[in-house]
Amino acid sequence: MNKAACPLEEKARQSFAAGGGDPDLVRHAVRCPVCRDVLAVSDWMLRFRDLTLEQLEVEEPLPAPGALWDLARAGRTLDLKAARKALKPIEFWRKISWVIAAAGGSALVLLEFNKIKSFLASIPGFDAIAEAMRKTAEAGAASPVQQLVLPATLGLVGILLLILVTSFRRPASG
Amino acid sequence: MDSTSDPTPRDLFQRFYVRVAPLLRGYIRRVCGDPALADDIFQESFLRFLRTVEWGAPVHQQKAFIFKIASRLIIDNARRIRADPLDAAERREDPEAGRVAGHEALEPDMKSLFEALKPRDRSLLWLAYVEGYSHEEIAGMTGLNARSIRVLLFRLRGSFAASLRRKGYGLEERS
Repeated sequence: MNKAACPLEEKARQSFAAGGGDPDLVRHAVRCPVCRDVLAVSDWMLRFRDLTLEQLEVEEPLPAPGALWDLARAGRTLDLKAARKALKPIEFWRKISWVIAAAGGSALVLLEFNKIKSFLASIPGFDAIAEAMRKTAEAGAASPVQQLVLPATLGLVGILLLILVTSFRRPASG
Repeated sequence: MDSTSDPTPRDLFQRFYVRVAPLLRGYIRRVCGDPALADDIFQESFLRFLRTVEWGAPVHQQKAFIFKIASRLIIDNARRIRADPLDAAERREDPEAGRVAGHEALEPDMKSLFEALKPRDRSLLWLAYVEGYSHEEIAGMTGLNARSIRVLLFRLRGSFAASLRRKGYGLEERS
């Protein structure tokens, strides 16, 4: 006789997994070849599970639940990958705006050079500085490289000021 | 019940963790086989669980949900490793994995018998015979349909019981 299925198989399996307390099912399993297999597999699996859990408990303590909780919360509030992805278009257009601003500024300086020159001349004290620089150069006291130092320093200070002003961040709201 | 304040989600999670984490870790470790990968899957399962869990749901449902997450992760990893045999070979040769396996106190026969099964079969046997989930619940966890689970478990029960008999694992006296 090869009995392939038993209507109690599912019930027996779930009952054995839950602790196997139902004596009627155990008695049935002794007579029924299908449920006998279910009981054999169930017994073996539960023993295997117990040995596994005992071994893991001794050899490898579980991670602390608090650590997982904090990790999950951090992941929920700050997903760096997602944030980077979301900011990508903004970052791109920011770079474009820098290039346009630099090109526009240069073009403006070239086109309005004479006006800028006369404006600078109207600033009190500017003539004196320019005269002093010219005299120094004529006296040969400074090499061409040295003559570049003052404008270069002024330019550098200007750039540093610009960086300082543009990197100023408003405090985060909320 | 005379508690004045409701437990916070953190408290609920701690209770759930104490109850379910050892069982889930055992399941993942035995089905997955690779201790390092099993630890990764264990952690990832809880992180995903915490992202979407509804604390108002019954604990049985929450437990089934995290077993579902873990089962899907195991299946995904099994597929990925099978698709990249070099990676699988590297994992097997991982000295750390070997060290842990070397300390296995479990009966070697039991371990080898279970590891001889395919990961999907190990998962089905564990979910059905250890956790006692119904065919429908297992179908939801593994992404197969309930009828397929019924057929697969039917075959698996027959072949595994035969293997147990061959290895001399008989039924012990039940009190």
